Amino acid sequence: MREGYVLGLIPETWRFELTQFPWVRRLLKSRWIPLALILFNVFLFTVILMAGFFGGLTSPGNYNFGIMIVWILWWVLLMMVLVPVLSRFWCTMCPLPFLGEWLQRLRLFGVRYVKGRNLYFGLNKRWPKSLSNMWLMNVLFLATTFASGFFTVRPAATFVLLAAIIALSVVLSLIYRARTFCLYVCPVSGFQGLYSNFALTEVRVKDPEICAKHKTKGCVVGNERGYGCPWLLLPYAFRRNTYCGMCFECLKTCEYDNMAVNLRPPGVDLLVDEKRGLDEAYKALIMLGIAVVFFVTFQGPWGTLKDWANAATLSGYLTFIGLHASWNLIVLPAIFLLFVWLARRAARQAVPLKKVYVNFSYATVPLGLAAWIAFSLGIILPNGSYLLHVLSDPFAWGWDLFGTAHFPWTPVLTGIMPYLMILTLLVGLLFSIDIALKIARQTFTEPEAAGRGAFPILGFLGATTLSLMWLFVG
Amino acid sequence: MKKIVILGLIGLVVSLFVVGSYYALFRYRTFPPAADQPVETLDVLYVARDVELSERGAEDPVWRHVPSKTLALAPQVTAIPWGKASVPEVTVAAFHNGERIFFRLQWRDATENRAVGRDTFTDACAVMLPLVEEPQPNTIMMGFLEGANIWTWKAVRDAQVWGRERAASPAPAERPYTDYYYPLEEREVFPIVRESVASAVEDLIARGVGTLTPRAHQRVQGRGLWRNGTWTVLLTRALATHEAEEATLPVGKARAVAFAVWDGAKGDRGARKSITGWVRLRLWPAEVPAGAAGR
Amino acid sequence: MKRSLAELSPQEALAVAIWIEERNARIYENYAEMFEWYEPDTARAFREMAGEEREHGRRLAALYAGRYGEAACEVTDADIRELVEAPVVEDGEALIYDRASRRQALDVGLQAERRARAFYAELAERTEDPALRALFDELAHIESEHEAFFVRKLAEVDPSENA
Repeated sequence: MREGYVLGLIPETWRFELTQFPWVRRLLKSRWIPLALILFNVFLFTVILMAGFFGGLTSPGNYNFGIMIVWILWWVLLMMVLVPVLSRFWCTMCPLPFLGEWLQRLRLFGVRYVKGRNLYFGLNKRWPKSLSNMWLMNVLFLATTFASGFFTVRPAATFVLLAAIIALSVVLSLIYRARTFCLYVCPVSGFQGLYSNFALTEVRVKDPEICAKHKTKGCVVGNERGYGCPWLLLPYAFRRNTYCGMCFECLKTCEYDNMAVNLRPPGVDLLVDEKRGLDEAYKALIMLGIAVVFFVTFQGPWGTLKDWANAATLSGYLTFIGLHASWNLIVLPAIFLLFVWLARRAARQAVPLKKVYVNFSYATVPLGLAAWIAFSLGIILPNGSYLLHVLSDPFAWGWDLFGTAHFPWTPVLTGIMPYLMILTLLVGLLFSIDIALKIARQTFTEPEAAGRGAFPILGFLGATTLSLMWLFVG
Repeated sequence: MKKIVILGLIGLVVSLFVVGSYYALFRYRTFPPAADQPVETLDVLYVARDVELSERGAEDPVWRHVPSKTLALAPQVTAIPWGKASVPEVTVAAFHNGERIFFRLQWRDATENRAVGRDTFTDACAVMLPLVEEPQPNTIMMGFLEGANIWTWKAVRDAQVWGRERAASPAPAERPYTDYYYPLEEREVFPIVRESVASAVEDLIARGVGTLTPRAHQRVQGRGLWRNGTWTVLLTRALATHEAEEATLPVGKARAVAFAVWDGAKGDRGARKSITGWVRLRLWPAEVPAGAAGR
Repeated sequence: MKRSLAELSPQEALAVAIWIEERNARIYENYAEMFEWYEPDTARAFREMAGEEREHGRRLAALYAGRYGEAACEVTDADIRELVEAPVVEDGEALIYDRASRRQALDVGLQAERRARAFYAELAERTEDPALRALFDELAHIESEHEAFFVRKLAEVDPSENA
């Protein structure tokens, strides 16, 4: 494949600036964005929390507004549209840290800017250095999935999860600076960050030279038009989507209109050879592993596993947790290590094993994302019609707000679903191969060594794809 | 002062979370799902007679006089392997004689498949009767978490019970078969004991996906006949029940029922099948109020 | 219309060099503000660097005054095409990973001075005007002194501190 081209077709440097259109720029520079989106979601999540609260432990999941909107609509939108296309656009409008940020700023709309700087309420402490990475998010996301069997069938479980996230975000916002919760703790944030490196959208600086000469970096320290980057990025310099929460504050604070929202080819950030770490490598593998566990448990033909996950018995549930954790933290990383070891051996170059491991882990991101999209197809196509029901009758109180309360269960396109799943996985594999070949060239400096070293990794990707196909379509 | 305010806020948030979670988890309201009531109703009239499980029984004039319903079938899509909606509809009629209930299921199927083997699957149909009075809203996703009694007729069993002479493609009766393969084996290696087949219909119970279990006492009989691209399957069981796991069929009341059909030629097997939603099964007493039952 | 530094008169080039030092001092102060809440030690390093740049500016201003007296010059760093000596914290995720140390801050200054020294030296080689060439040589020499200052400062930092 041609160097510098995505799939040998699109230049990696290709960008289309969406903010070149004045109305887009005006919109994103307005303080109503993202506030209006957040307020809408605050309303939506209030209804979700109420449905979870009143739903208790035994209401059927498919007739609960909270469960259906969160686990059918939101999750599917997140995996199929928001992350792959719009990067962390969910973080733009996420209502969960809303209360915490409001308390920090003591302003809903305006900017608290006094004596040349943004003012924040709270203790504004620094997050511990040892936790300034993705490890905590890895553990918390994995731990959250231990209860996945409850979330889709027990409304109260969804309530407790969301309430815990909100409570924790408020507490941490009062103690720590800016979006510490979103950066280091939120279970949903880590994978969004990693997978957003594949996304088609980015916020980036337009002309770095303007920033280099710029004396007062409002994008970092804030000014009267907006807050310094709440995600602690240096907006004029960052090169990956991982931690950009797309809050658009930097578009508001930049005095030179030098920040842009661009369309770009998929996956280019995965090739940014800086800031790669074992925490992100594990995140990539954990996401791949959880996709497998979820499918096997919730959509596979093994009812016993589902019983374990649903905690039909304590011993079964503990077995599920044990297997789930071992698979994701030990078995899958060990399998990948074997292939990485083979890659290093095949390349015959003295590159540290850890570096090879970390680098190649980014090649699994497109395939992991594809696995989640395929899994999501298995959620939305059969079950999407329930959404019409819960929209009209969110609390199952017999309402019929939009006349759809009695819309029957209607699976959509399920006849071609296996083919859609296979197609999705193949597209993911294609991008993963492309990334793996390029990462091989980054990792092993000699072209021949890179060619040899890539082979075992391509083997891992191929075997993973075949296994997923076998799981998904039987 | 600021620290006190912050600590107070943190305390408030944590308290709200704890109290809220307690109420959500332990003081929950279990509201009855405003479940979609079955759209279709199948009236089961009292007719003081039997039909024999034979070709004659399948064509018995009684079937022309009792109500029947043509029900749309949808693919099963909650467990692997997915269904493919290979059978679009099934026509069901039923009556009872005060002692037994008789069902007749008919559906179009271009081929008669009575054999099983590798990549060869049998035609089949099933009647599902939940073990609770008000089952969860749909037949699959939550439908049998509380248990269901399922009568499964399979063409391959039919051939074993009723003889090969009536089957166009006789079954290799002694070949064991399973849908499940140990992942590291090319084919199933665990020994499978073939039970002696007494009925073409398996009387099963299930409590969730993957829990199909034969009942200790098999009380359902049935027979299927394929002619001119149509299966006609008769099923019958005594109305009276003897065990808790046996679905009740109370005369004078309505209860839920669902139907499923497998087309073996199109790869249907196991979970891969076509299913109906819940149907209201209304068993009329001997004295039917004039004009009460629909046709 | 922006011009190249090589197209300026020696007087203009010296004035621009003064502006650059002043601009850099402001940038360092801004960095100090960025890092103040985060790592006081790093912020202090940036403050020291801002002071150092101001001192450089004063020395150049004295040079200017000695040569051109009170004669005002309209050209500033905003009027030239090249980017000279701009210190940039290039690690866009420095705050996230908590990797911005005093050592890194000083390294930002060192790299800026090195770039400036190399830039002036290259200009001196390319410039045919003897007076201008002499000025660029002088500026390159001054920047090499600044570079040495940062090297010394870096040597003072505890080697165990993360880079």
